[in-house]
Amino acid sequence: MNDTLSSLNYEKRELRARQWEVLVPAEQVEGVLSLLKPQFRHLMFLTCVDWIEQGEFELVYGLFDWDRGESVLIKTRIPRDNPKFKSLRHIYLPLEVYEREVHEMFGVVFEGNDRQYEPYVLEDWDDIPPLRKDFDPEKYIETHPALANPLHDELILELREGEQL
Amino acid sequence: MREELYSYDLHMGPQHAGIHGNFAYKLKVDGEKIVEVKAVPGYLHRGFEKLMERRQWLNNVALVPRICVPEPDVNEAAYCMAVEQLANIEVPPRAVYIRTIILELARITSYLMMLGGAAAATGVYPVMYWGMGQRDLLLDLFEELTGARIYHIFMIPGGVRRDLPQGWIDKMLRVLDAIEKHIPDYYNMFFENEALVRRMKGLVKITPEQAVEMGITGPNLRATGVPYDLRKVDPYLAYPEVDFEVVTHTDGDALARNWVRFMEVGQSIQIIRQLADKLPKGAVLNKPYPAINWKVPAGSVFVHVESTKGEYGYYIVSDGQSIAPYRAYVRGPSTTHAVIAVEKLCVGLEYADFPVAESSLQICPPDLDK
Repeated sequence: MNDTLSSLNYEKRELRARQWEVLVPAEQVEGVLSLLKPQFRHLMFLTCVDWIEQGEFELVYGLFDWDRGESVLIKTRIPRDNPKFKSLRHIYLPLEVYEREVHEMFGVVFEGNDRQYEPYVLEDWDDIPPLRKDFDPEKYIETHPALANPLHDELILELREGEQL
Repeated sequence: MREELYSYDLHMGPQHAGIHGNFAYKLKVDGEKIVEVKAVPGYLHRGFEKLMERRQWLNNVALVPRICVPEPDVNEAAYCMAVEQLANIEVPPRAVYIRTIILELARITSYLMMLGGAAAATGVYPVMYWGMGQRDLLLDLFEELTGARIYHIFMIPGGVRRDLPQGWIDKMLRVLDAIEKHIPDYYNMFFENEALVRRMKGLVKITPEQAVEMGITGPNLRATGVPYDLRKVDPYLAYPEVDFEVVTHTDGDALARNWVRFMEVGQSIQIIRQLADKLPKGAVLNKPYPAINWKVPAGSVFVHVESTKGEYGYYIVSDGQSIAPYRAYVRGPSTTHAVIAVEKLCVGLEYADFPVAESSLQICPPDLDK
């Protein structure tokens, strides 16, 4: 394990060979990312997980060390009812686009990223952010009949009978 | 007055802006010079991440290859490897080798199409015609092996669906010989072709520092001179057991990026020959789980593989309770290439060079839009 990484005083867990997850309190993520940046120069991704039952969003920053082939996932939790987080694009430039994606798909507001309000992949979206667990695509189709395919409806209902999902 | 006359908005795309699939750029142009670029993604958004949360673990195997058309197999490999990590499933060595062979064959099919596309952006079409013709031979191999030409759905958690058909390896080696025989023709038509070289030399030059800073991966990164290839740096499948050198070029321009891709075709052929030589005997599938209502133990993992476009990865979360992934995130290489790199680096180009620049970055919108 990388020296900087092993010196971090947070809960760590090995996920697979050469990959760890580190659970960091929200207010310390900026410091941890700045500390890791010189070794983990590549930001693989930023994404979000909606833990609806706990009422929390989990932000996951995936960092990669090109020289040692090690990756670390920095995970932090923020409240679901007021999802705000500081934009960290000054540390990793690609966060500009990843924060935009998370904002659109989960509704997390990244303070300081002026580009997050530009539409990313959705067009004229008029519902709650679609990757939240309480967004129901089937209900969305009901309220947007133009999107439904009438030929499939009956067949789908028939096939769905008894299915657990 | 001059501003009003010369400066205007030019919409490039979403139909064929020099890349596979639909993607648009809004350019602010002064005369012929680009002064601002804004990416407009979303034309290929199909909601895969949400769909995966609503499909069983094994159903998703049939879903994931559709995320990226030119190279679907990396999706299968990364998804299966992530699920295997979570469920702690051991893959038999023969299946590991077969998977690696498939991934390398897929690299060649993808490169033959990409190089053709890159050449066609400058008006040099023969590379594309030849490439597509030879790519078809590889698709025939895939059809015989998996029953499908594009979306193979051949890898499943625990291995591959079936063993290789009799005589398939020999046929494959003959196809590789045929492709290798024509490599000098491709080289002459592409890299000895003044019409093409002049357009690409020095176009969108990227330094290694810029590339790492912008999160650029794959051949686009290696063309700047850094030997970062996930097959070597964070090895997976049978890659630690084969011998190959990472292809790099120091120029960092459009020509260098295509040169790296071109050299990697030959490299893949060498890798497949080594794999075919060493192919172990034995079972190809270890399936200690039920086909339906399978509950994968709780946990999360990120698995990435080297695709022809760059780093391709899956971040999968299981809550241990439900029969579907709790969350599945797809990291497509084009996110940083299409948005960050193009918006920052294509300013100052003439707009006629824009499709050439884009095709040299090999942007593939489906993996960005998902």
